[in-house]
Amino acid sequence: MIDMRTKTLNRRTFLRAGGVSMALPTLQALAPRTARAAEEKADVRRMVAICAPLGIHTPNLFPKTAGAGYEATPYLEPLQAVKENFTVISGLMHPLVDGGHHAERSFLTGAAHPGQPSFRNTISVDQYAAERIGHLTRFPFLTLSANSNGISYTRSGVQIPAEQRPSRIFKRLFLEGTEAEKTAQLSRIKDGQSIMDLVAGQTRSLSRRIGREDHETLDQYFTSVREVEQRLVRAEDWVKKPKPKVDAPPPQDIEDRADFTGRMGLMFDLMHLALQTDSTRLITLKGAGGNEVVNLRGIDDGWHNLSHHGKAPGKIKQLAIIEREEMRLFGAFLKKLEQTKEGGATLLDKTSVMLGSNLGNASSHNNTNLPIVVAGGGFKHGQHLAFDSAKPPPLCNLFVSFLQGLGLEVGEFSSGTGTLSGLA
Amino acid sequence: MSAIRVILILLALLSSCGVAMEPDAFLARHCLDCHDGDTQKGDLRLDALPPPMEDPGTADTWTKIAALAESGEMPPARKPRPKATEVDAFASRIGGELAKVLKPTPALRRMNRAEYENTIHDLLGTDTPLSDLLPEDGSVQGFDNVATGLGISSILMERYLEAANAAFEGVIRRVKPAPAETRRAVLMERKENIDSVAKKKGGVIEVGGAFVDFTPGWPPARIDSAHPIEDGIYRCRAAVFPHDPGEDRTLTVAVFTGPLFGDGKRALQGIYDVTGTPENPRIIEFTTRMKEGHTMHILPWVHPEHVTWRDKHENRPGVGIVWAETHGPLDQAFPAASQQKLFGQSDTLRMVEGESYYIRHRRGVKRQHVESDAPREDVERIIRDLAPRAFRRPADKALVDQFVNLALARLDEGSPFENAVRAGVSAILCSPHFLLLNRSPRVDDFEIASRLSYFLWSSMPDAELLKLAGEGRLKDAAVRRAQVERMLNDPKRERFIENFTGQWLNLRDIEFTTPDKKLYPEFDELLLRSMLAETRGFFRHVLTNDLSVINFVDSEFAILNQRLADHYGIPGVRGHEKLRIVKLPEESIRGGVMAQASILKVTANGTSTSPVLRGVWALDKLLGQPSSAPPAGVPAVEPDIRGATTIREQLDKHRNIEACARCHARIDPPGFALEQFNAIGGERDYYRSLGRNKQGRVKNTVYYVGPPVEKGGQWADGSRFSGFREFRKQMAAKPEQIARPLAEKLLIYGTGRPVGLADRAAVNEIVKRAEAKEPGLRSMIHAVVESDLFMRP
Repeated sequence: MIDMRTKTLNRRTFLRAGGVSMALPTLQALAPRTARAAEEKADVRRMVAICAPLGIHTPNLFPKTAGAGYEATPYLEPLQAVKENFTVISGLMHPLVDGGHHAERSFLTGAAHPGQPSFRNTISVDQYAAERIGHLTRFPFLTLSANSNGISYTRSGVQIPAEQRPSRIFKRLFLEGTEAEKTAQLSRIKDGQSIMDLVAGQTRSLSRRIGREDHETLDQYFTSVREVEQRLVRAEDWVKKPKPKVDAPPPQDIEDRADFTGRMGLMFDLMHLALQTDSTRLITLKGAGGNEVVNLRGIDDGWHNLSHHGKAPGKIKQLAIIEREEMRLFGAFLKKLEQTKEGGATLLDKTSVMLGSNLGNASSHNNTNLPIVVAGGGFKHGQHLAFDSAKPPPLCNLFVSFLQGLGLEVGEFSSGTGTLSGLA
Repeated sequence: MSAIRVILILLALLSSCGVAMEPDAFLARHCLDCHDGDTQKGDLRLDALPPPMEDPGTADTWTKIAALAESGEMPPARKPRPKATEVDAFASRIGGELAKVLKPTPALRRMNRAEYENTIHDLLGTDTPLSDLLPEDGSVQGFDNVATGLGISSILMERYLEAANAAFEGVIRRVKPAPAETRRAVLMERKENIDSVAKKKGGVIEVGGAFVDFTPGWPPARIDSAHPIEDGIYRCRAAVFPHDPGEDRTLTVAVFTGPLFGDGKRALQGIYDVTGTPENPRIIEFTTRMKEGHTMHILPWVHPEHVTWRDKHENRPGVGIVWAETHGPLDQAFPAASQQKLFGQSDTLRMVEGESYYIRHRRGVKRQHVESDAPREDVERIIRDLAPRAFRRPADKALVDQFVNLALARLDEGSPFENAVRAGVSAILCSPHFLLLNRSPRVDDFEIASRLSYFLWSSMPDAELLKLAGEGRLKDAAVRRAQVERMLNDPKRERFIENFTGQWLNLRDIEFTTPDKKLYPEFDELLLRSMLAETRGFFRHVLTNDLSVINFVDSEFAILNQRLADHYGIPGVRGHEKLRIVKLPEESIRGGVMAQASILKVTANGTSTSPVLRGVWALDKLLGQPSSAPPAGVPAVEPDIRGATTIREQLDKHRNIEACARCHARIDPPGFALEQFNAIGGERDYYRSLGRNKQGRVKNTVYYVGPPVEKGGQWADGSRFSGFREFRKQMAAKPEQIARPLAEKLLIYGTGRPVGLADRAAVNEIVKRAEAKEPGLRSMIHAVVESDLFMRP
């Protein structure tokens, strides 16, 4: 009995001293406080990745000519207000990533053949970054979805549950508890630390008792428990700090999927608030898109049906109404980031944003020549960056650029072997 | 010599049946023409594909080959068709091979969120909602309880911590309940209602001293003086009567409980037929948990809908509400029963008043918490009692000591007694011994108890199962059988019905789309609720009476209320409140799940129907042949609701391409058979169209008569059917085609593992054990429980 307690205390001290950072990159969190404070004042960099699960009709997106001075296409018109702050990229793909809609799983990971039964995913770019800079903010990352699942994956390839309710995200980010609630929360964080420590030991001894092929579940259990344990150590500090105050009222969730504008609008507003208040620096969002009949004027068929237009002009026309609205919302989000000043720069300068899709042609479930729009992040913009889709560079090169944009010394990520040329 | 060859030769020696005597005869006769070294169609070479025994890496490919042969996609239509027995023997052979090389899929998994909530409720005796605190679970082979779909991430683990805390909070009642009292509102004594009548808000009127409401919308019928003034369980009653129902309209009320205004869920308590008179109204009654200040929303649902501008020559039908009342709190136990269950009985425990607690209508209320005069002893006793129940088996002392020590450590650090217990309980609820199922390396009696209960109750075993496990009696098949019977008669079986049908038949998606109001003006919430009740009721009826599973394709009965019967055009069913068994007329188009409105709605998008989507649904769900996604570069076929080209024209064009024809030869037949039903399950002869045309507008609606519906079709083997009725008859004539996929789905759901070709023998065994040509659903469940797969570690 006494042994147990001593062990617990030892582990905690050990954790605080940051002695195991080799195995656990997130333990940078335990670097001395002064160093952290200094780091926080420095240049704050962020990243946002958005996936449009039903594709983006590329003939309406890609300009005819490459370089600067292209003629705005129907989908780029709504972005003209931030023209000098974004780049549209054609000709990119993830090598070996196929499987139509299944490729969504690999959109931020680049893992090969997501459609196969034996597929195992790898870590997504936001999580890779979160392991390194997640400790700097109250929330290491936000995984959001206007759909059902999200697009972020852990190091062991497990899909990270995405938050779908704007009201709940808002509450976590901005609503301050009472003093009594905070005390209770602190006590629960302490409990949580001991509980995770105990449970980690139990998971390990369970692993020893069970046959090999079961290890995957237990490995995931063990890793998750360890991560929570670290996060709770940091959470202790965060509870003591006040949450940022925002003027915006708490959002009301919109249940009706047909109200696409309303649902996406709430998500974009929250993302802006989260970045502005530095509540997190890493956000992924899976956009809307299912079989719903979107309640925009001129739409009378399900979105998914429309995306399978089979080149029928009537369907493409309806699809374009929805996708233009998608771009309008995205443009408004970028504009808002641009209008938010931070030091001498804008929030958009400090945030690398990507909107894209795993489908190059949703109608045929094709996964090449992906539609990608990149904004902010201090990259070279105002251009159409056209790659030869016969010799496409890997999309993961863009992720390497993003990771470097976050200030990380990274030369490779997944299938990416260097930064994407033409952005610097 | 390849392993397949050896086996085939052995088979050939042992068997005297005439099929496939030669080694690899099936491949040679039906496949190698195109898939040998010379031709290699589709880059597939079968003469050089090593059998799984030599190279387990080929397992996926062999599985696919067997699936293509079984579905009839291969060999292609222009080649001679192998006999069904031949295909079966071929697939079984590959299955047998695979079973020898493939390791059984691990069964170890975490609970899904529904199981988590049920388990906590059963363990602690609470009803706190918890599943919303946890993220949605992944689904594999169509079910969200399959090991390979249930990943674990740190976000999930954090949520488990939160949920454990919420579960603990739900155990303790913080405020001593006031004595039960009746709170009553007479509607026309309330100023809000008097005001609504005076200002004719929403057309409401007063009749015979009652408030008469016409629509579910504004203004609400106010019953503020009946609102409970503290949380608890209440018996709710309301007096209603019909006002001017007219000759062919019916009146029901739907009663929801929840907040009067603003956010927050309203829970449907029931749908009640409105009968009686102003003098002698109908009294509705139900019992439910309510929060302080929550109301009953008493909503008139009129069917068929009365549209004021259209039906102005008729009196407007409404519902008179005389009074409403609540009586409670009925749960007077203090400490709460759940607290007594967790903390046990001890003289050392007491409730202590803490800070003031604001309740609007009660003065001087204080929040209470649990204190102990012997905290160390009580903590230890509570944890030692909970751990084995939570783990669903006797627990090692060393293991339980860990939890006890954790809780005692909190005490030593100066935590209050209750928080020490909270820490210990939370630790138990976050432990792999609680959250993981099938974690025992060998299948002992306790393992069997849990497998039974998670299969049929989506929750932990009850006391009787655990007692039998303790006595070592669950290894006895007869005892297991008796337990399955008991469990299927227990109300907790509703969890099985809801989870299984929710996923097998996609009922969980029923609210994903809202039917277009212009095209389907007759759709209303009463119909939506009735649809769900119908299909669940149908499944329940087949289950209870061990009826043949062929009923899922074709049945002589339906489970209906008046709303559904009107929708289906079946006369003589009165009342919406209760669904009943209705014997269908001889030539009725209804019968079987494919003709149920719920299924027809979940396979449509609210506006239009697609033979492709419905065909794919029927293949996957009823025939067990999931279709792969269309090959790259092929445009999809979707109906043209403006009616320019017919869906058959589009699909015919499609089928002329060989790459498409392979799958569409199977997808299209059920798809076209189901074209006789619209997006909300009504029978139709023509498509509804919003585009102006010569046929003109349908009376009292804004839609037009579109082109006539495509009826009839042709199976992959060339035999024809004239419409849905004949299609259904032909489908039902092959019972083994229906029984086997269902057996497979029950096995997936029942064992929580993916089921593949390697498990073919087990699937066949279930169909066989369930007896005869037309296996009963209940018998099939017994057979699943007796299956080797169910009992495998």
